[in-house]
Amino acid sequence: MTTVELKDVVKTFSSPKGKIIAVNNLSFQAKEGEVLGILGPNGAGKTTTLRMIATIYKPDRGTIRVEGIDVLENPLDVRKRIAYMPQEPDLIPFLSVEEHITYYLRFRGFSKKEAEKRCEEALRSFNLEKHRSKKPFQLSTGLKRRVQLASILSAEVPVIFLDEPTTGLDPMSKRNTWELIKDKIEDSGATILLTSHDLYEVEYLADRVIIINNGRLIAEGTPRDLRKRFGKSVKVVFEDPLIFDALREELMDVDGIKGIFQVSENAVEIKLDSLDRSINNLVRILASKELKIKDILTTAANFEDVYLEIIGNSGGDI
Amino acid sequence: MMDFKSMLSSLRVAISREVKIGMDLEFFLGTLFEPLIYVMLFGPLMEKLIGNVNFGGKEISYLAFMFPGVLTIIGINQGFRGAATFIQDKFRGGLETLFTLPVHRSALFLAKILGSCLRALIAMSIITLLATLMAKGLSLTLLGTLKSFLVNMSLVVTLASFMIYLLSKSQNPNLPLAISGILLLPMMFLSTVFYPESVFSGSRLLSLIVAVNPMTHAARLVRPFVYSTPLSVSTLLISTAYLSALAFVSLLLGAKEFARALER
Repeated sequence: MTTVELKDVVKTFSSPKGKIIAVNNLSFQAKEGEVLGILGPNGAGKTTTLRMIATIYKPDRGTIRVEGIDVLENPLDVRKRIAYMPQEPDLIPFLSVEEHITYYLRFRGFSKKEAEKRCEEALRSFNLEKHRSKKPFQLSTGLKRRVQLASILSAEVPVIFLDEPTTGLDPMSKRNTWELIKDKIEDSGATILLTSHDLYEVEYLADRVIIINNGRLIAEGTPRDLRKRFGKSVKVVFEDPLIFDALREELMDVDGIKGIFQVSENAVEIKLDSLDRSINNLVRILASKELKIKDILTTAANFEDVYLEIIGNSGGDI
Repeated sequence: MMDFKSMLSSLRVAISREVKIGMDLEFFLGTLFEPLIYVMLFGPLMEKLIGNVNFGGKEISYLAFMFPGVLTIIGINQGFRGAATFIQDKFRGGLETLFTLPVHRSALFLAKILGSCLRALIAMSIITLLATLMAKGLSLTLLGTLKSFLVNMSLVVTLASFMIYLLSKSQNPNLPLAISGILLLPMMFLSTVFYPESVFSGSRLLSLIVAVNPMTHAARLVRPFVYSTPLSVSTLLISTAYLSALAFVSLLLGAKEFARALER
């Protein structure tokens, strides 16, 4: 079942330099229980997209539905179904950890008694008991994030938005936050939309990924799919030193070859359209040129390579 | 019906949050300390210099004459400070989360205004208690006190709403401070808070400024309430209509812009 659906969504902002198109005809879906990672460089439109789904911004055009409810027609009903964790840990300086969680729940319609009960459970579950009376200035960024996650989870909503949940955290806190998200939130069965700059984070947490650049969707799939579709390259090692420019000239027009780079005096890295089809083509051509091949190695692209290639192909600045 | 019930429930929670985050050191120093200086220092010293003041044929002490003005100053102060919790929410974080909760934004806005009124009410009650003990010539009744509080609440509503309106459009959290720095003193001295209306009669321009100053209208209404002197129907109608209209328009503008406070 589709939980979040965007169709041809456009959002522009006015600036002194004119109109800025933040989101440009964006369409995608997130299914029930799925963790959807939203990747993209700075200014790609990730946060604007989340804010529109979370009813903070109104889209200029297009439709956004959460569990079938239109965000423009019935924002209050949408808000009953969502929880949003903003990029910055937005805790009010005068409220304690306990008060933050309790107010969050009371705003969600829980009675004072029920809110306090759930707050106790959340403090226990998120290991925040000894910090319950502390004010935000007494907490590290990692602990502030934990308070936000505890609030969101204790509300038990079907759709959760996490906007760069580990920004500003040290590696250890980052890892702890990932584990919290994995253990606590994924188990809740909620649909999660997660934006991030951290490719490892998205690969670790997300079932599926969409990549946005300049407000447009440029790629979509599971991290594994994307790795298969993009970033296919082979390293060819020759027995003798080669004349690189001549080889490049020979290969550049061959169908299925997207790029060729010299890596040493007798080795080149060749980017291919498709590993299966193009590699046969490549071997056939190299053999016909009477070049003696010592070795052919397929290089396992990591998700970062894939991401850089996709963004690069879309003409974006990273 | 259900929607109204949930709105009331949200409003209750939002007011409770406002009280919690709004009763800070700034409130106690900013709202209470300044009027205390007027009542305990400025008033008694001026009383020694000026003596009694004739108001509506009744001789009253200068401190008693100044007391309604002090209430009005509290109204103005609290009005300017009314956006303090909004500044917290918008510029230090909180508003993004609040705006994604199943709460009417108008309930959140109203809670901010009512929170300001509540803070003003506390401050006015303390000053009233003090003035009753110190000022000669006050004839305070419960109804008169409540009416005078209500008049000053209209100033709180007007200014707090207007500040939230401006801050919703602006990216500068220091805006209320800058505006109050420019307006507060002229508003106080170009009104009938410290001087009788007759002082300004020599200048048409000054009279005009004094006449449009909401503090003048507040003081015109409050004085008869606290001295138990007669209040003409025309003054009652004009000043009440003027203050109500200002409060109503500001409230509408503030609520509308508050709902869009995070739109760039």
